[in-house]
Amino acid sequence: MRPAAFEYLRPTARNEAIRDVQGSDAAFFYAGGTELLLALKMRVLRADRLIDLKRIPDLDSIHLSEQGDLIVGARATHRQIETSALIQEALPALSQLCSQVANIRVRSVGTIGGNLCFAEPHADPATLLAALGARLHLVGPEGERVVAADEFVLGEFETVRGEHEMLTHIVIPPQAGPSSYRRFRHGERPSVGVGMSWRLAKGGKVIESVRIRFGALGPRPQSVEAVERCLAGVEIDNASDELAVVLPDALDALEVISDRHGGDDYKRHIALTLLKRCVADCREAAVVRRS
Amino acid sequence: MQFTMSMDLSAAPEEMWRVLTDVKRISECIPGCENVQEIERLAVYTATVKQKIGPFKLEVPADIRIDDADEPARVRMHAAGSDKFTGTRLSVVMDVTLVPEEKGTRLTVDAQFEVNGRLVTLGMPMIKRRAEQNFQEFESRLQALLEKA
Amino acid sequence: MTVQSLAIGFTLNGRDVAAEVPANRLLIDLLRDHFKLKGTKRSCDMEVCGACTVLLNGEPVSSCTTLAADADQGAVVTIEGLCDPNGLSRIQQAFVEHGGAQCGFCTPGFIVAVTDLFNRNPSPSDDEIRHHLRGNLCRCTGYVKIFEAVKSLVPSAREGAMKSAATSQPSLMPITGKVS
Repeated sequence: MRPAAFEYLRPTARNEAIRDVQGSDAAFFYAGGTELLLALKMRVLRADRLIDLKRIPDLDSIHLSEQGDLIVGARATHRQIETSALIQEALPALSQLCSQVANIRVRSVGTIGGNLCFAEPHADPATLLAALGARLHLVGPEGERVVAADEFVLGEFETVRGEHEMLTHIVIPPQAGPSSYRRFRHGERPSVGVGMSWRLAKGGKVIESVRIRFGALGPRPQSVEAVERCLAGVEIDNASDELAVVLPDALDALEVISDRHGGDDYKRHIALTLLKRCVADCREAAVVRRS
Repeated sequence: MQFTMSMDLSAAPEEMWRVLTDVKRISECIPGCENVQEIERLAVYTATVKQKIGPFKLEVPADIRIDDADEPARVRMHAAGSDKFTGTRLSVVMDVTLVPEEKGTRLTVDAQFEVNGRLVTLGMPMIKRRAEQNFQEFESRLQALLEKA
Repeated sequence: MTVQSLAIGFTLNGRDVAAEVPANRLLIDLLRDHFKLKGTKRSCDMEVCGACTVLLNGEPVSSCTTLAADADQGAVVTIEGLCDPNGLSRIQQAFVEHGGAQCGFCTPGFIVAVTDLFNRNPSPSDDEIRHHLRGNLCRCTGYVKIFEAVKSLVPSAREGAMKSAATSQPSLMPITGKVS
């Protein structure tokens, strides 16, 4: 199918784009369009104005801030993130995540910002960014604001971003330990995703605290307190054993929706397996880090 | 999708019947339902049902018909319409029964609700959940309306 | 609403071209209907099968879900631009030799994806080949022959392949009707 007609604008500055998006009640930003254009083609979404963000400079920058935060521009494509030497070095879990999104065509033009803002529940970035404690920077008619990645997604296709706000960049604070992201998929999208980041105590042998997020199971990424608690204060070599004590029961707390990706017990089981593998990944990375 | 609800009301069925057959006020208990017009009293009505899930919108011009009215015990109605842009059809068949009780009336609503068309490609589980939320909201509003009367 | 018309210009298979399109024109339709380049195929129409793959600014994209406007000021290469004027390209030849095409409908998309693979990595591992081609679907071949075709283009494999091609027999298992 073809999309219905729409007006097409190509602003060259952020404030122009913010002004343009207010000009219609069915105006949308787009960059890669891998989600949005498909929805328009299928005519489940109507747009009367599309605002192409690709001519605005500096929206796809990947760099380290002076404070050591990793800054990822919202318009950075999955391919750019996958191949960024900086991210491969500083946050390999993110590079690996982006290398597995959909297929080469989506990775070429699809952006991390578009993925986050479209908020399809079967997606990867939101889950890991929540586990990493990332912050999302938005700009709109009322100015700029920052939202924790943990709070960005409200539900299916719904985020805290206002209609007239643009996601400009993602700030990932310096990590005090290893991180991992594992997903299971049999199609283009993840059926289950688990993101994890460890905060290690000085010496690198003890886990101070962990952040774990489970994605694609429910409308938004979820945490399970019991799992995070059981790993706090634990020696890294004992992490898997400590985790085993609370499993599988702790995962009953997860909201899991049965859909064409699988039934709820199947997905819950996969989540458990991925969780264990993430712990193993982080332990291995922590050991390597130490040596 | 099947939904059912029951509530105990302090007034007698005859009094509840009066409110229940005010189709305009009952329809306005449905989340997103607006602009209810009477075409033929206690028989035919129209309304617009609007829904929004994230950026996805539905605007459904609905025909509402009262199929069967057995005062003061039972009402059966059905409503249906399609959102033109997405080619999504909503339809509902609703049975309302009033049973007299010692302290008033037990009201039961049974609704059979269907969604068909392109919007379903977004995911039936999500649509089901939204329908459940709407039905629960309908129940709260209906209860408030009937208790006030 | 008046239909907005955009004037776009880009290079198409190395040649400067221009077109006037409504904003909602898809790249695949511009290529096939306006420029009469029918090699790019519309199959799933929802970005999952890869039959519509073209290179846009050096990167593979689903032309079925790309706006023509997105090509403006850029460079588009279709399967027609990956051919050798004197015959078949290296990649096409490998597909022919290894039986990597049956009905051929998915083949242009695969060739573009394989071109992209070797543009990025002249010596991909088996896993890298499979990962790169994951998003190209074929309903005929069962993928084995496509994989072998691509593998034969990898430098270390090429020498081995050249040797065995000289001596190999077609591998057909006799059908005995017995289940063992």
